[in-house]
Amino acid sequence: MKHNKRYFHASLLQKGLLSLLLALWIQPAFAIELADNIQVHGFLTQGAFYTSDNNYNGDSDDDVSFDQTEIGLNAFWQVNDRVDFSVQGLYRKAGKVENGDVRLDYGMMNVNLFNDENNHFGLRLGRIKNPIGLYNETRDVAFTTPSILLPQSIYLERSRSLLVASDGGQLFSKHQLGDGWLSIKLNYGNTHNDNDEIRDQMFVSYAHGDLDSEDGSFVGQIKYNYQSDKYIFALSYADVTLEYDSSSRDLIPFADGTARFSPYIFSAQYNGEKLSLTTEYYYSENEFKDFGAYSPDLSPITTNWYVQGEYRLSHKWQAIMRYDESYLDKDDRSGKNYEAMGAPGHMGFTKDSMIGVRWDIRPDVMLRAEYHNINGTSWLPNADNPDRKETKRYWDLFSLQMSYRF
Amino acid sequence: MFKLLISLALLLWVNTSFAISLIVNDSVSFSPDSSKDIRNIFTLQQTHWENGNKIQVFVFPDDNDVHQQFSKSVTQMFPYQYRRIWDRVTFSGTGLAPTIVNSMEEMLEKVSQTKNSIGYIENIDKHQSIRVIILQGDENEAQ
Repeated sequence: MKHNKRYFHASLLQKGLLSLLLALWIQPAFAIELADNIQVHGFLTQGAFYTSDNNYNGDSDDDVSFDQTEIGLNAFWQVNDRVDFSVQGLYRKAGKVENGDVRLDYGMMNVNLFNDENNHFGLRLGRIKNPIGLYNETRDVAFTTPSILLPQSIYLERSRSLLVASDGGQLFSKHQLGDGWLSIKLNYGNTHNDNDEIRDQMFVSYAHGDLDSEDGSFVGQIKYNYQSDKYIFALSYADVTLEYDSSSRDLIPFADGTARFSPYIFSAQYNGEKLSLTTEYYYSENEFKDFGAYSPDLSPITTNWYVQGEYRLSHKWQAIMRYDESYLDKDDRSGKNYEAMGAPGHMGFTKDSMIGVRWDIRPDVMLRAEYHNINGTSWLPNADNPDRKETKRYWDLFSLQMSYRF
Repeated sequence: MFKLLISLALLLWVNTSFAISLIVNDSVSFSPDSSKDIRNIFTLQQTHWENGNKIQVFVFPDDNDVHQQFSKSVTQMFPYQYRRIWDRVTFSGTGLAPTIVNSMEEMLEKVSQTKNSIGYIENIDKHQSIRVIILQGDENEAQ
């Protein structure tokens, strides 16, 4: 996975995006208002990645990859006091995992069934973002995330496609409780079915069939915001079952088995004037069964967590530090099961220490940089690293990102 | 252009030398008991008035002095917290973020002309209090 080219290779689109960012710089705007009841917003994000070893978001190994671009455009239409519609289109390029398609990120009708000062009940229908942890619903919007790479312990890129949104419905409610609000969101629907990254992690690239969710999936969250986000506590839960449809191209004859993931995520955050402290813990009971003789039934428990501190030096400058740890199987912390499949044991875990800085140049333009010191490869994208034997256990990642929003 | 009807005054005392007035459109009946009631509206937790009408919120930009004073003194919040909440709503399609206005004139004009709206201004008479000032558009009156 070595590349001799030392020059920066940005695509035409990315050059165009940079020009657009420069053009927007000159003419700042915050939201386009077509009418009092319609708002249009959007964002553009461009990242750059350098890694000492392994590839992340493109060919970053001892090179610089610009293969992270996110462009979103959304509209919100308040039809009346009870009904509104919202839609967001997303262009996303992320290394070889996502090639830069435009997709409907969300599109829904929102119906308020009951409101008073202390209570709110509603229903959403359509494609709805899934409430998982603190960041999943806006995970692709740089301005709303704490760092360029979200903590992979909770917001694993591999399961992004699976968990980002549901096509179905959401029941939601909010209740004022003391000096805070208790909110509940229950999503049920079909997930996006682009799970090659999960398949390649399960079968170490020996499989080529489709891994899809046939039935609906459930995602729910209960959250308490005390004093308007001074303290946030949340418990999220998801239950997703994927069915494998084997392919004649499979290098090993796997049977049509099922994989079930049912993670719990506990989230807690404190927000002071200068300091924010965040921790999230992920506990998932997984079940892999009926994949045949070459893949014995397994029910590993995944335990991941991170702790993060953000410090606002001024209203333009912020620093961040985080320690992030993942074990795909808590009873196989060194990855012996991967070694048994001929893959490196470090596919089974990752410990990532990061430090970063964010500069809000203007309210609508942000630049940030971060450094990660990483031990393990459990969340390394398979598409960018097709031969896992070539990957290194210890690696460093530097990243720069610029984002504009209106 | 419009006239101010100062009909509710001295609703709430706060310890600040920078006085802020809440302003509401004349279609709105709102008498906050505490900063929590105001915070609920600007953090978009309470999205409808008591009569069931959807609330329209107007604010100044994040780095505006009046916005910073409003955030801290009136609602005990920091502007970055509002920004996070509004961005989360805006980019998940779950609500309408407050509309940003850039001057006191624009704020007064928007709130006086938009039904069910609320905003805030720097206190005109510099009294150390929060007031709710009801703004009434005067389209029915001769200039």
